[in-house]
Amino acid sequence: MRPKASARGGNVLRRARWVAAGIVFCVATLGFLFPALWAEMPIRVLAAWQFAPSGLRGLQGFWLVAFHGAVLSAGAAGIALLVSFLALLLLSAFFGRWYCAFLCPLGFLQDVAAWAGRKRRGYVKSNPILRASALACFIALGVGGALGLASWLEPWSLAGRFFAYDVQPLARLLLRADSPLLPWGFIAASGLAAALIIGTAAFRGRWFCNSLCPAGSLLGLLNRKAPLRLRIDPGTCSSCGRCSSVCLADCLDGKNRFLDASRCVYCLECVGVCPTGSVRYGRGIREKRRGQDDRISTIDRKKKGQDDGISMIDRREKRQDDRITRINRVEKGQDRAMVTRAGFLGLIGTNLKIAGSAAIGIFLGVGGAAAARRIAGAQDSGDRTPPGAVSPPGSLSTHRFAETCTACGLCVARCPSKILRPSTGQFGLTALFAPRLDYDVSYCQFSCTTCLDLCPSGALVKLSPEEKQRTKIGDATLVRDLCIVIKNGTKCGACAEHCPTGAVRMVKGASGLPEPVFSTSICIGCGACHHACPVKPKKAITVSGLAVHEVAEKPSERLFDPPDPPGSPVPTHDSGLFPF
Amino acid sequence: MMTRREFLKGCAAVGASALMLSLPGRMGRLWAQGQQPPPSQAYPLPARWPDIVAVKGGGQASRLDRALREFGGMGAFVRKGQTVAIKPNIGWSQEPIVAANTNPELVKRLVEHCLDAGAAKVWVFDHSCDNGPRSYRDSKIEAYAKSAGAIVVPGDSSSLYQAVSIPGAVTLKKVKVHELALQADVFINVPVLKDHSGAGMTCAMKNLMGAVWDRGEFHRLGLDQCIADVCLWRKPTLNIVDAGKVMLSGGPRGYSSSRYAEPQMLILSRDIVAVDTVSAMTLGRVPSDFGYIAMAEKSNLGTTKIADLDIRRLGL
Repeated sequence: MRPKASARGGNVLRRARWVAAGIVFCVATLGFLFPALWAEMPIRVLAAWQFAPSGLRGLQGFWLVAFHGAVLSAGAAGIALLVSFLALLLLSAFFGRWYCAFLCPLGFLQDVAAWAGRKRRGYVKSNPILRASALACFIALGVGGALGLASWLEPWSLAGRFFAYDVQPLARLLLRADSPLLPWGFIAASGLAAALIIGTAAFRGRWFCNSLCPAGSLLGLLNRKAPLRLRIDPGTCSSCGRCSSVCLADCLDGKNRFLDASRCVYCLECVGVCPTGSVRYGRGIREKRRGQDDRISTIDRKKKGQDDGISMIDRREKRQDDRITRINRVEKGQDRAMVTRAGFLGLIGTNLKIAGSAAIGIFLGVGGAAAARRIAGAQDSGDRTPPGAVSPPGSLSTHRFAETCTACGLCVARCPSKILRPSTGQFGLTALFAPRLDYDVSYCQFSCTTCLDLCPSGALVKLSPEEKQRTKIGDATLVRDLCIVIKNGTKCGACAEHCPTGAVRMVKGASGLPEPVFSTSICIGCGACHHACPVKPKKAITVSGLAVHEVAEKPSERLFDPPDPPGSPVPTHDSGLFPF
Repeated sequence: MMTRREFLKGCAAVGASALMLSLPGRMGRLWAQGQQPPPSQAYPLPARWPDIVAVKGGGQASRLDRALREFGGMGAFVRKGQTVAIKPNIGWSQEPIVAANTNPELVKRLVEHCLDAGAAKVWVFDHSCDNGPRSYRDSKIEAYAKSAGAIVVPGDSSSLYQAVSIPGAVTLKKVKVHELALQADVFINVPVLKDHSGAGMTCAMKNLMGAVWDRGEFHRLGLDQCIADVCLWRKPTLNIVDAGKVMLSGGPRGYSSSRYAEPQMLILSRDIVAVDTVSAMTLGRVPSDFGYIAMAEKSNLGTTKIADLDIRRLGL
């Protein structure tokens, strides 16, 4: 049978989807892999429109509007945080679950795996129990303050960690670029998670998206009720089943003209292969009275079946088989709401099962969060942060940071100094992978706001460069007895050279040599002195993080302008003469 | 009583011994010139190269143009087809107005001069203290040097550095230096003159510390001696000191409270010790206060006795 014009158009759509999703995927990967070469803006915008991070940011925005909305600036800031999440929700509620096909980099990665796997596909029943418990577990973990654990279900963070901790180091290795080594555990954990998902996709397509992914579950719910969405037109569908064999989500039962709207990811593969152009996007007028209408039309079409030039008997037999399975399914009440007694009871049963599994998910989530916190609490020693627990500027406090960072690794991948590194428990087990500043690698650049500008989840609030330069994230400790000037009696001053605020200065000491002097009030904890201090093995000046960030004082304008000692020559260059 | 003959004899003896005494210095200078390829014929060679050329007034580019004329043009140092490595100070992620880095206009003009003289390639690099790419960007040196046709090379990766031993060094016997500084036929040192919290002053000698990978080693072994030692490894073909705007306090990074002077000067010399000596005076300091200058003189890297030198003081 020659495909209709609409079907050929479908194939164009299908290809366009691959191209568009591929471009978005490239923006994400290149943004993660080559921060020096690839501009910041595209990946920043893409990250800001990721579902789960934008949801987190949106919650913070909602909180600002609800509790501080009276203050105009806070209200405006809150709305700014809310915008992308609200837009995503509203657009999905009206136009369907396009997000998963176009904007999710992990989704595209799975599509590629599924395409490469070339498995024989077909309709697979949904698993609402697993789905409900995973979503409930995610929410419970997040609410319980263990976002670091929850983020192992979240696609942007999973993809980000894979790019940041596996693909980027590999690329740098191949390009022979220097990069600080990551602990192998991070490489293994993020790589394993991605490998499991991508490996599963090679056999089961978008299984992850429709079982574990919280964004997929929420968007699936919205898609079921979306007025405009992808549907099968039972009036024209010939039940050939080609769509089922290409569906990347295994959610299409072509023989029965059934499309599971809660699992459809809008990959448009079905649209591309449908010979009659029956998988269409739009309002489903024919489906208004679902089920019965479908069945009637099925019977109608069976009567009209003679028109088709295909062996009648075969098809009729097939259809009867189909009808039987269909009725069976309907009676089980698993997929569609049929107002039969058995179906009704079945529906209640299913809903109870889903509710039960959600409860188990919540229990697991809350329990997991509580356990992680208890273990973390055992290590906690009051106000003092553990060594190396320096959270990035804009995180406000290590506590808040641990509860809002999904550890997607975007700031880690793009930090120009490469000092942002996944934490290994410095912020508690609930926030594993949340980045910390590692001053052994380098120090935080004074004029740089890259991580603040990029953060999609709102874990790092936006600060102007001036605000960032006054944000005290840590404090230095100078041990004079270890200092080279004191110990060796030779000149040094590496700490003071690098200090961007003048908190460490060299002042002529008793030895006659310039010795370091430290003022904590103007120290911002950037780690420049810590990194530059050449003393081995234990540095003379070290920076430790503050549990709650502070605002540093402004350095005095006369900090480097001490009154000149009497008799010191003051250079004059007004006379036009040479001083030598 | 001295006869007329005795007086003449005495004069001759004094003259001869003075000549003899000054010979090593002259020979040294001749040898130093001998190491360089003969300048191309296109540029008229001056009767004798000046020891120091200092130009005051005008702009960065015009100062360089004027100063190079005293040497008979850039062709005196760069022959056709040679490679040139330019080592400015790009230590900090600071704007040119802070004068923490070498002025970008000066670097640009220098690149143009090198290419005009027929250089095959002109490389520009530094091992920045702050983040490399950000320092290259904020100093504007990357953009200016590229616009003039230079190849701007990173200096922030240990893989770009090669270990060399320094014969005659007192403490820093071995050091890892940037491969381009090793490779290039011509090596031009273009520091900015400014105050330095650790070394006291940073100029031509201290700037060579930026061609090295592990600077911490310098601090651990003794900063002054290591700065003097590293200059033994390769004598720059030419030192060009940017003293247009000099930071008097709060160096090397520069703060909003730093004090400045504007000598509007450019100082050129092949003698790295002499150029640091006159630069110290330009900064209003006493050269003998800086240990590394005295140590370098001891290692025969140059002289601090500037009264004996041919200094061309030029105004624009």
